[in-house]
Amino acid sequence: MYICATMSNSKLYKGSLNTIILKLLNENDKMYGYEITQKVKELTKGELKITEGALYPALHKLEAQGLLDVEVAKVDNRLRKYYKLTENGTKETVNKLEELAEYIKTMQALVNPKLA
Amino acid sequence: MKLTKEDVQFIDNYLKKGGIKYWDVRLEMVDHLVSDIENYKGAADFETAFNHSLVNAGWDKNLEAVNTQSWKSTNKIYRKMHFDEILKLLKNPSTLFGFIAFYLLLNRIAIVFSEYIKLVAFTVLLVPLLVLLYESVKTWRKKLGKSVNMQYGLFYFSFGLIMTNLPLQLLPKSHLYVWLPLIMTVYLLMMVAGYKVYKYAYKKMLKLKCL
Repeated sequence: MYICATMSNSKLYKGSLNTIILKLLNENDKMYGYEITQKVKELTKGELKITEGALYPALHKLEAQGLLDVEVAKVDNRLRKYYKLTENGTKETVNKLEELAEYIKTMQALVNPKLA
Repeated sequence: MKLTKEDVQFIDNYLKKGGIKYWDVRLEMVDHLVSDIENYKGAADFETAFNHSLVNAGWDKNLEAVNTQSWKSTNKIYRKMHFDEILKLLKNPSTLFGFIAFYLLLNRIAIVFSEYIKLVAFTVLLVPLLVLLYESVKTWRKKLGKSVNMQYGLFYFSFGLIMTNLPLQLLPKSHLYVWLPLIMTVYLLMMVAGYKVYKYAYKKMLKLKCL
């Protein structure tokens, strides 16, 4: 499963994992895997939990696509991989967020026309 | 709870013994688990906090499945990268022209100097293999260890040879001047794309090893 959500609505979040990662990295200079999971948990008040089995492959994929860059740092007694957006990654974040906003607007028009 | 160097080493060994064979996969898993243990709320000894973190991450049951999942997802990434590199080479007018010129040259040799075509084809086959051998030795000398990225980097470097091996063996005797140059061109295209994929993996691993 990609994402665990408390209301069995994980399928709705599935396609948004990359956008979530890109958005978080856009707001923070650099982040590591565990930090991303905790930040998502904190922002959604525990409603959304990104599973480790989904997060790391997604990060590696975005890195291979040239959207993320990696920095390795020694933290205490271990190595840590930090991810940050590349120039292309920053551009892609804007596109992804626009796509998401458009999607939300369309869904709003369908589900709740009064609010749209 | 701050973990000591020995605790971190224990976690790494635990993952290794559990089936996570690749150090580049373990690197992030170790940092994830250590971070979670260090954020553990409440009083608990290392073992309790460690077990709790394994459950949190979903790595408490079958680590071999996690290892399998990691090489499957890495393979998917490298396979796509290899395919994209082939497309990039074909979309670039100068490299496309180069490959067409290479085909036409081999085709010409096959027609005019037919007795030398097999020798020329063998040379074309051999040159990327020598580069592959050189790069393999270089990687081995850098002591990059058992890395899933290097494994797939090298695999996709040699992918051209694997894929063109069968067509080369089943090469029809008639129209050799068409088929042999065509297969050798495809081989070269795949090897060049594979070399780029390998270089990506190599640079990535050097970065992770902080070399």
